[in-house]
Parts: sequence; C-alpha cells; structure tokens
Amino acid sequence: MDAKIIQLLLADDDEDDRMLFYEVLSELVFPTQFSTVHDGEQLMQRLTENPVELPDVLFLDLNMPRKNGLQCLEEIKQNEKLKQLPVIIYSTSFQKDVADLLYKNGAQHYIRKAAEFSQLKSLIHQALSLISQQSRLQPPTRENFVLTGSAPVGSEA
Amino acid sequence: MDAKGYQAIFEQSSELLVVIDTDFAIVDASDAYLKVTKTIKENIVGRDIFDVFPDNSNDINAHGSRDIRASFHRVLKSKLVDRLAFVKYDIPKPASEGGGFVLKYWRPCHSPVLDEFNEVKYIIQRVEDVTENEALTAQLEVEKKALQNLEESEHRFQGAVAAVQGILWTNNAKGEMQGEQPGWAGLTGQKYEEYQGYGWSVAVHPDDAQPTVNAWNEAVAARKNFIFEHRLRLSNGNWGIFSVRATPLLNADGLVREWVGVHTDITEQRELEKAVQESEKHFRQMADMMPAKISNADPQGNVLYFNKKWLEYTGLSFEELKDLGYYKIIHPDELEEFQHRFQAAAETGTTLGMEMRFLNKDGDYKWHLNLTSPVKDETGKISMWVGSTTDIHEQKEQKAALEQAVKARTKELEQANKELLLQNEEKEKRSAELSSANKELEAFVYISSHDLQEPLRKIQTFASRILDKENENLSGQGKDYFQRMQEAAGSMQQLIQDLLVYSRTNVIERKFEKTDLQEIIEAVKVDLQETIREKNATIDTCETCELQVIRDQFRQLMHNLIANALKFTLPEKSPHIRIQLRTDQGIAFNNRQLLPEKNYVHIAVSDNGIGFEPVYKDKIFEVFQRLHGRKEYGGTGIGLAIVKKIVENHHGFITATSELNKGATFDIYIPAGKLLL
Repeated sequence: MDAKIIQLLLADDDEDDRMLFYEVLSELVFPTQFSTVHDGEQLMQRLTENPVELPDVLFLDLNMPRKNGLQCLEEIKQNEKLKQLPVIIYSTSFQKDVADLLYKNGAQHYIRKAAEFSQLKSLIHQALSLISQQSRLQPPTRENFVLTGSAPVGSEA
Repeated sequence: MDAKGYQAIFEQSSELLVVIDTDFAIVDASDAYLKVTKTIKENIVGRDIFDVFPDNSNDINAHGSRDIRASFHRVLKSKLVDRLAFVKYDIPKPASEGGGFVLKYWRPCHSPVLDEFNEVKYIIQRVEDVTENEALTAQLEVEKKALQNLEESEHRFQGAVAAVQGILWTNNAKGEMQGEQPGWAGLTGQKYEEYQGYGWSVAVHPDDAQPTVNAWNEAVAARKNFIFEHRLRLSNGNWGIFSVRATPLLNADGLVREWVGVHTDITEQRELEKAVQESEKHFRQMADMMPAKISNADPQGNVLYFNKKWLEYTGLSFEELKDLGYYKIIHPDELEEFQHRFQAAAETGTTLGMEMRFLNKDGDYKWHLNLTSPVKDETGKISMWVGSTTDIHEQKEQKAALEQAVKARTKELEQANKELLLQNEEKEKRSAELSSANKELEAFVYISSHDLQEPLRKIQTFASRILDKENENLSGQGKDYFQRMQEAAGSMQQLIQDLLVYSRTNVIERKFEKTDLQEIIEAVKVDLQETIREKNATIDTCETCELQVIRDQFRQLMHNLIANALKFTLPEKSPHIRIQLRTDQGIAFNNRQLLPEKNYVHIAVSDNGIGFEPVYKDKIFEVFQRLHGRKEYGGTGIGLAIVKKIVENHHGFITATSELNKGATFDIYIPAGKLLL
C-alpha cells in the first residue's frame, strides 16, 4: 500500500476534541495532512471557495454553532462539485433516528466520540482504513455505517 | 059507431096506448097508460112526449129517450110498425110521491096512422110494462159481473199474498175456520179436522192462544181488521213468530161474507231485534263495569246515557244529568271552551279531546281527560257521540310537581354544567401548561443529556490519556484514583444515556408497523455480539413472526431484556436465553389479567441466570431500582423501567417470575394487532 498522504479536514467547534483528534492522528501510522474549521459556515466557505483542492475526507461534528453538521451534509451532497467528498460523522451523541437520516443523506460513516482514548484511536483508524481502501467513493453500506472500532475485515490482516 | 064510441073504446082499452103527432106531441092516451105512467091527460096532451118523460137524471147510463126517438123516426120514414125488445125508461114520480124516478122496463110497439093521402098523421105507441121481469134479469147480470170481479180480485189477492211470502187462510163470517186451508195446513202441519172451527188455536203458543182468540173475537164482532202477533208451532216442531193480518170481505149489503187472513213469518226479524237489544244491554253492562266514565249523546250533544261510574262520581241521577244537564258539572272556566270546541268537532266530524274539570259528589272539581268521538252513519253523518272521560287529576298534579322538580333539577344541572365548564377550562389551561412544561422538559432532557455527555466524555478521555501517557509518573494509588474517576464518569454517562432513552419512549411518535420479531432479535444479537461471544451464551429464538409494534421501541425492549439476561449470569453456567412467542385468545393463557375473548401475543424471555427473590418481582421495574451493587453488576437501574414503559406503550403488560439463582422469566402480553386476527 502506497503511503499516500491523506488530506483530512475536521469540522468541530470543540477545541479539546480538535486537540484529541490531532493526538490520535499523530499516533496513527497513516500519513495525513490535518486541517480544521470551527463551525458549519466556516466549513462551507472553505469547501466552496476552492472546490478543486478538496480534502480526501471530512470528519463532521453535528453540534456546531451557526450551521450544524446535518445542514452542512445536505449542502455538500446537493452540490455537484462537492458530493464526491466522503463525509464521516463525528459526534458525541448518538440517536438512531438522526443516524438513519444521515445515512440517507449520504454520510459515509458514523463515529461516536469515545470516552477511552484508545477506543477513539481505533475508531478513527478504522474510518481512515476504509476510506483509503477506496480509490473512488462508494455508496455507504448499512452494515459498516456506524463504526465500532473493530478492524474492518481484511484491512490489516 | 060514432066517434064518441071509438073514443070510449080507446080510452077504456086495457092496453097502454098513447097517440102522438109527427112532431111527437101527445095527442091522446088511454086511461091505462095514464095510470101506469102516473100522469093526468090534461097535463100531457099537446106536450112533447120527451118533455113529459125525460131520461132518469140519476142514471147516467139512461138512454131510453134516444132509443124511442130513433124508433119514431123509423116509423115516419118507413110508414111501418117498429118494435123494440127492452127499453129501460124510468118514470118520474109525482112530487106527491116524493119526486125522483121509478125504475121501469118497457117493451114498446110503434104503429103509424095514415091519412087519405097515405101520409103518416099519427103514431100510436103501445107499451108493455115489463119492469118486474126485467129487474130480475138485470140483477142476475149484475151479480154475474160482481162474481167475476170477485174472482179477479181474489186472484190478485192471492198473487199479493204469494208476493209477501205469507200464508193465506180464510174464515167464515163467524170467525171459524172452514173447509180446506192448504196454506195453514202446510204451515202448522195441522190436519183438516184439527184446524176446523177454533181448532187452529191449538197451533198457537199456549201463552199466546187465549189473547189471540180474545182479540180475534173482538175483531170479528167489530168487523174490523185484525192485526196481531203470536207464536205458532210449525210443522217441523219449532216455534215461529208470526204477524197476523185479517180483513173481512163484505157483501153488497154490508154483511161479512168471510174473513181473509195472512200469517207472515217475522221470526228472523224479531230475533235480530232481540239480538240488537241484547247487544245494547251488554254494552250498558260493560259500560257500567268500566272504570272510565262513559256517556252517549245524540248529534246535538244531548246525553242519552251515562254509565254507573259517571253517576257514582257526580252523585247525581241520570235525570239530573241527561240532555244538557251535565253542563252543571263542568267547571265554569271550561264550559264555554267545551261548547265552542264541541261545535267545531260537530262541524268537522272529528274527535274532541279536552282536559277539563268535572264536579264530583263532594263538591270538588277534578281534572279529567274528556274524549268525545263521533259515530257516523253510512252517509258520513254523525249519528251519535260516545264520550270517554278519564280521571287525570293525580297525574296532572304529579306532572306539575314533576315539572317543578325537573325545573329545579335543570337549574342545578345548569349550575353544575357551568362549574364543570369552568373546571374544563381550568383543565385545558392546565393541560396546555403541562404540555408546554413537557416540551420544555423534553428539550431540557435532550440538551442536558447531550451537553452533559460532552464534558463527561472528556473527563474520561483525559483520564485515560493520563493513565496512558503518564503511567510511569503515577503512584499505584494515583492510578487507582484515576481509574475510579473514570468509572464514575462512565456510570454517569450511562445514566444520562439511559435517562435519555427512558424519556424518549414517552415522546416519540408511536407508529405501529408490521415488524418481524426474529429480525429484531437478530439485530439485538449483533449489538450484543461481543458479550455473547465473551460469555459463550446461546440464544434460542422463536420462528418468524410478524407483530404490529413500534419498531424502534420494541428493539430497545428486546435489547434491554437480552442484555439483562447476559448481565445477570451465574459464573459457573454458560448463559442460555430462550425467547418464545405465542398468539392466542386470552382464555388460553391462564392469566387472570387477560380478557378471555381478546387475542394476545405472548413473548416469554427466560434465562438461567442469578434470578431474584420473588418479593422483588414488581420492584425491579421501577426506575433506579437495583438489586445489586455496581461493582458486581453494572447498570443504572433504568433498563427494566424502559422495558415496562415500552410494553405499556403497546397496551400490554409485563410480569417477571424468578427464584434466586434459578433463572428468571419475563412474560410480555400485548394485544394482537388487527393483522393477526
């Protein structure tokens, strides 16, 4: 597997979470380039300003000021230039009905922010593994929509 | 012989001779003629013979002068003798004998007397007085004619009798039955000898026989028509009622010749009359026995009958009440209206119904419902009125009292309603407030559960970072503290999550959909697969079965039950969970809480875990109820409360049965949806 640098964008208003995410990335083996935005508006501005240089994957928090994650996802998936961008939901809460809606709206995976750092690490690792396996964005599947942290079959075997 | 001699011969002849000239004037007459015609020569000579002997003015059929005159003319013309057979030519009686006429029949012979020129100079009339002979002959003829008339009339009479279907009989002038009486014999069956004389009276009813004979003798004596009615024994032995009419037939001299009588059968008519009388008697008896007051009036309203009840009520006699006498027992306030309305009913031929007061014998007016109905004849004219009058005094008073009570009660109810309305308004207001409060609470629960989790999670995460990164720098005790802190934060997070689920089972839209229970269980098994693997648990599930449930809630329910079964396990035993499902009528389940005829789905989840003492079977479903310390078995004490709530959302109930260390069984009963019926 080529150690291709993964361009990674995190939209999260919580500074602690941004820091923890960065710490996870620095402990993982994936070569990544990490950038952050702090709310939905900032996110959409960043994406629409320069649609040519899009990140490889977007980690999207739901509870954000000004524009929440759900709205952002809708705008991205309705935008012809942006809809190929894989979006992984990254949220503290989990509600089944909300998760269903996100799946329907085209989110790739759902990660629930874990309390255990190690757990968090394995979740993000799983997500990045799944993303890097795809050369092109595949429609999400129901079975591995909500990530549990266990390694995807065949990824690191 | 000289002329004097001829004169004497003529005058003294025994013949009845009269001489007339050609103008019919009398010239001379023999003494015999004068004597028979009761005339004197000096009075008649020179006078027209027809003036002297005019026709009888009392006999309209007299035509003597016409016949004689015709004969004279024939003599004048033929100059020959002319004879006539009989001529009735009554002779006037001289005033000295009382005037009038004497009946006379003549046989005349007229001879001409010719002169020297052979011309008729005189006519000699010679007549014979044949009155005696002629009177007899005429009488015979009259009687013959009378007999003929009688025969005809008798014939007509018999025809008439036959037409009235009567029986004809005749009696002689003395009133005795005589001769053959075929009508009578046929009617009574009496033989010839039996009915002769007064024998007929044997056929008359013994009670009527003597009166009949008496009346008959009276009529015979007076020669007046006999009209009677009596009973006769008929030839078949039955009694019949007969009307009798007999009339005397008189001779020319006014004497009774015979009696002719007719018996007419009126049995049926009398029986009908009797039936009518009986029926009327029955009506009166009935009317008298009736509790209602009954009366009967003519078309003008004059009462002809009051029943006993009326007389008892008023204490008055019929005489006092009859005709319009009843006006005096009508209350003065209603009399005018009654008269007015009776008039109107009579005009329209309708029933008059009126509530009115009548005076009773104690001097009190009592309320009655008076119905006066017309009875009409076949032409539609009112032939009488039937009055039926019912005492409604008590009802009327009760009604008034009732109306009063109803009025009062209505007022109370209205007041109560007003209060209720106010209460309802209060309730609605309260409900709106509650609803608003609930919404606020919901929002609060959501936000708090979400936002509270954030810092908790971070406490946990940073604790784990310290334990991880700063492991060597921490003392054993320091590590322990951090672990405890982490666990505490963990349980708080679980608590928040469970509370969130619990509150959401209340508010989420309850949408029932067709759901396969097996699919739900499979999904739960995926959720819990790690634990199942770790504990080496086996789960026996039911076969495919569709339920009508709130899908997400039902999944939560199964999750909690199975997770519980996996949690409270005995260390020495591999967990074994059994899920059974059955649909049946309530009566089939042997559970007193079920309606016998309703269909239920029963889901039983049983395990072989630690179970619990039976005393806790209800308590375990309460929020925050825990039977074990957190150290031994984690959990917030909300899981079963959520289960109970979800079952209740499905209009069912859940029970738990267990003994310590002998496993537990959770029985869920929910009414089967329409799909399963």
